[in-house]
Amino acid sequence: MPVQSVWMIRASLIYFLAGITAGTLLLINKGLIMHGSIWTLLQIHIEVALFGWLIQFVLGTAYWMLPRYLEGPKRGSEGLAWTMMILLNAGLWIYILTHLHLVPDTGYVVSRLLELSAVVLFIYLHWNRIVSYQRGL
Amino acid sequence: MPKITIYFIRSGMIFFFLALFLALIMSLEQSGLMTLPVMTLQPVFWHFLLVGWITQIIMGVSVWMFPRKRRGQQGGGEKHAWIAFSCINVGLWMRAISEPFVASGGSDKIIPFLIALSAVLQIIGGTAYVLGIWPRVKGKRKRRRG
Repeated sequence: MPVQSVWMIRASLIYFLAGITAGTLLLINKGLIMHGSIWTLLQIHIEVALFGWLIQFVLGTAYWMLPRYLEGPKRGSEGLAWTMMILLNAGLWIYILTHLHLVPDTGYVVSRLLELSAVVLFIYLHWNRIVSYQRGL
Repeated sequence: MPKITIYFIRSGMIFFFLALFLALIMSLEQSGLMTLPVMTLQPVFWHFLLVGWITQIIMGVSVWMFPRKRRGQQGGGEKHAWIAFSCINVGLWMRAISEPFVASGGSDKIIPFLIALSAVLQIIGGTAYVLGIWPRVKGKRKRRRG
């Protein structure tokens, strides 16, 4: 498993724990109303579970498992793979900080731009790795 | 394919079907063909889809495919995976049964505790999965050293 995938998958597992912790608090609060402010966690729960856990896990695993190049760097530019990971996580953190009103609301736009850039890099890195070695496909 | 993976994937498929079935029922309400208050099922729909289906598929496939200490070795966090499977599935079903009652303002005294228990079960399940899979997320060199 390449080191970039190790980092992405481990980060996704940490986000998974964070996401279900927030989800647990929300669900318990739904049943045994503890505090109204817990509802502010809902958007963070969704963002962390979707981008931090599910999407990051899939990107990290795809970077590891998709067919590798026969010549040159096996999975393309390693620098771009690191950049992809940093952009995705930076986007996620800026979203969380914005939602907690720790940065101005334009943070939402910045976070989505960073996440979009990560997706563009993912597509660029993997487009030519989606191949079949069978003739005629 | 290990037995636990078969359980994760088959259970995932059942949740996938149920999630889409719930979506169909909710669409009947949305389009005015039914007047039951089924929109309270929306959180259950999302969790059936994202936890019951996608997360369980990820768990099942990773327990099967992620590198083990030695090639062909069995185990490697399978005990943790069984705990994860049991807790997540029981937790999700408990949630599905209890959440619509809470959302519709029911006054049953057992339901809030059932919903809290479902939350606790799901976090135990998730933590067990992470503890089991974490040592298997590593690079080649580290894996050879054992």
